[in-house]
Amino acid sequence: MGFANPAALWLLALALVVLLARRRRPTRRVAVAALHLWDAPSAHDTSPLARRFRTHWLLLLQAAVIVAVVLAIARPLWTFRGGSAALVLDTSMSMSARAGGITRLDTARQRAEAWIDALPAGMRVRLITASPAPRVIGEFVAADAGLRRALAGLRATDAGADVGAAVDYARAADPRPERVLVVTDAAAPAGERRAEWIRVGQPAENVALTVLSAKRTSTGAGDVDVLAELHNHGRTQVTTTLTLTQEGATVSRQPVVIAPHGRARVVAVLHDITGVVTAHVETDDAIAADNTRRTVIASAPVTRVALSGGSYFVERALRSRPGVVFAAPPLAGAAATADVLVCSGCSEVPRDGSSTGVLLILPKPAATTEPAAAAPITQSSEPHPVTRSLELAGIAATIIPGAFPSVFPGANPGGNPGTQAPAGATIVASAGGAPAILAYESAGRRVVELRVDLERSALPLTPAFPILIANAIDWLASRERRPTDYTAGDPIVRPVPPATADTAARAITVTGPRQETLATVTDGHLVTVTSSAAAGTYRLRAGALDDSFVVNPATGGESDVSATSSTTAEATAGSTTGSSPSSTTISTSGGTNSGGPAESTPRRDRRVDMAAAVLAVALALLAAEWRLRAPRSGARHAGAGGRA
Amino acid sequence: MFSPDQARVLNRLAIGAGPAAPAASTAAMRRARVRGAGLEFQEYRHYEPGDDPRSIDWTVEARLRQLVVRVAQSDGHIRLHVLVDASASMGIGVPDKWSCARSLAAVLCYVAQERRDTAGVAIFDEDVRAYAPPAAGRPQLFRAFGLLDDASPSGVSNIDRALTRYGAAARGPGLAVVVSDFFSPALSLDGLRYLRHRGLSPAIVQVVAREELEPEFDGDVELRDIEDPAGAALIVDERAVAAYKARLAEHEARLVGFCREQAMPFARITSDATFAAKLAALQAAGLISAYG
Repeated sequence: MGFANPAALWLLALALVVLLARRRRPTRRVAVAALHLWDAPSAHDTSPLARRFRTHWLLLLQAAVIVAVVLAIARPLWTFRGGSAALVLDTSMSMSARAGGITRLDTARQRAEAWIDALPAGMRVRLITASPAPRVIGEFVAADAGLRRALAGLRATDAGADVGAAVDYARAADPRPERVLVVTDAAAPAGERRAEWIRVGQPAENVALTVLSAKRTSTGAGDVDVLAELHNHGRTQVTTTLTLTQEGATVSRQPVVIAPHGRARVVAVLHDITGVVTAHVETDDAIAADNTRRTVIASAPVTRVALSGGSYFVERALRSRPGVVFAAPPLAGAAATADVLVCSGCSEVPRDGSSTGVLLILPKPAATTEPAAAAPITQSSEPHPVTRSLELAGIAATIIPGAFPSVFPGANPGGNPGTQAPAGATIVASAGGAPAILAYESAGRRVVELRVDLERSALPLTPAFPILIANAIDWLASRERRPTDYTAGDPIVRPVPPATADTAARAITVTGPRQETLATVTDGHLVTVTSSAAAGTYRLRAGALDDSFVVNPATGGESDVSATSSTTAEATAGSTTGSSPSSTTISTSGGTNSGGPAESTPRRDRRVDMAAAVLAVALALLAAEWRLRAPRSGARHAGAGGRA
Repeated sequence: MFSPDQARVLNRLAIGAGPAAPAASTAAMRRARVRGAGLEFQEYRHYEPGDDPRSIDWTVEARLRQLVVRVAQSDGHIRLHVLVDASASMGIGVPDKWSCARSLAAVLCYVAQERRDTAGVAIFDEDVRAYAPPAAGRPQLFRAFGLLDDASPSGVSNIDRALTRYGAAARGPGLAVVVSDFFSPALSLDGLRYLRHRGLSPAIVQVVAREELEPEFDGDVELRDIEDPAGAALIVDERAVAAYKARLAEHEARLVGFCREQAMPFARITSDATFAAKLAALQAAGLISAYG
């Protein structure tokens, strides 16, 4: 149902005129002694309810006449609908490539609108974008102007796209769409017959910043090596300038010459710099988004370690690890004070809830217990961060018998207590058939469990022990979970202090490049940012934590826009009915489609102009109103149609 | 109830003796229509056994050798019954018809009391609501005034039923003045006939409001029966007034024709009439007259 002249609906306000006129001049009410001298009363009007209803129905009739006339002027169109369709639009970064003053997305929009215009007006169209993941923008009727507005509102992201997944998503809808159109700058997969495929885009020259990394030098003088790599996807040599800035201030500026289809690397040494560094290459190419890249130069890593219980060997090993700072043992319920808690002599994971990881050194057996014999350590062949650069083979160790954390009651029930291990735990090393070093996660916290009696083993005296402790500390501090650089479209999962994560997710805020607050999902001590399609600097705040990281454009596969032919783009069109794909030539400057299934599809809907019918109703109402309003001998009962 | 000036005017009036039959049992100051023990000679007639021998005119017997008796005109009182309609329809008009009816009833009672006639008042709507039987004396006058003051227009009017109920309780001779607007929808006037059947001499005083005689409408007007507010409303405009006036004239003609046919006094008084106009209307109908 639609209207050919919807602007006329504003005239519906005229119906209020009747009410206002009635309100302005109310009927005078007079009590008389001889009503029978005016007219003969009718018995059927004695019901107050019926009289109240009938008192107003002439007024309602007049309003209905006005409404019907206005509807007739608005020309209602009754449309018999026909089927559904899906429109998958690629909004990846490459769709922002500009050539001839128009972007590929603009061209895609035009093609999509032409396709929609050829659809039956009543067909429902689901609009889906493919970047970075399939996303339903909305479902509209083909004739709805809202669909055009939604198309016009689409913007290219800085991420890549999985068009195939978007097509699968579109076809999985219920009811299954009869037609699926994909508009992208990527070629259709070989044998693609599930969707009509329109490829847009002209080849264009483009230079992209593909790599930007920074690393502190080992000189200890605070120098930072910054490496930038530029890729020229064009056919001509590019001479440009790479500028490194930090907080708006230029810290380095170097000329770069990039050969056609070649790469260029630039290394800059920066002094005493920390924070987000932005690299920008000044060039007028097809895609502007990949001319800028960011990286985070972190300060020297510091791991706060809290010692509980005391262990001479562990403490010595920790002191040999650069970046380790000792903190006070946490109090139950207190805020985070350390990144890692080393609990020596603990039989269970402390529930302080403040540390990210726990190094658990089990308590020594009682003096009366017969000590177990030392056995050589067998290192697991499965790689684990704790065993990085670690060689334990041949080192003898004495396993602490029968003592296991109570946080895993019932684990491996019925087995030999000496071989019990928590479910899901990784046995990093074992000795004499019993687990010696375990790594696992408990309630969102990483735990490394050391079941070796350090005083009766040779392990603490070997060079492998400080390496083991250093690896364990690094893994427990979850350093690998805090990358500073992401690619647009990739999921962003970052740890937050457990106390913060447990108490209130609302205390966690993530702001995007335009300082907008982004939606997050918190699971334990991990927070996931649901939207990372825009490149720029992001900021995560959770209690005392203030964490910055950057998202860079997805240059891999998106920056190369030189793949298509020089003047035209090949498009493959297919239909869901299995017709043979046909080839059509599409020009980004608005060329016409030489033929496709959309235009050949007959219209299955039918529009009926209901204006005449509505006008007839209006006339009928008018006649009824006139008949009831016309005075009969000057008097009438209100119950018989009199105005009140 | 009355100002001193109005009281002075009323003191010079008497209830009209025309159609009323005074009670012959008590001496009074008025000449009754019946023969009785009055002082004024009326006629001779032949003696009949049982006649008082003292009434034989011996002079005539001496001359004509026939026994004839002198018949004198009897003197007596009028028993006045004032029946006032206090239904809701009497509350219409500016001033309302009830005020006018109450004033008329008070005038009649006052004049009757001044002339030592007996007067009673009955208030009715669809039935007799309050009743003070005719009696003489000033206390009766105050009772009548109190009855009139206590009443107010309300209820549904049924004149025939109320008059029938009153006639069943009272009987003549006497003058029964019915003060009402006589706008009952099913008015058959049988009540007036029943009063006459009971020996009373009915008289009609119709009180109407000026608005009822000359309704003025500007546009549509919703009319509702004041005695049936839940009933159907009627929407009329100025074009309906002529038809209403015609029906009203027809109604009046029927009422007047009935009174003429039954030789009943009839007076129509508008509610906004002055005191003098009210007295003039009553006098024109023969209900009051100048005394002396």
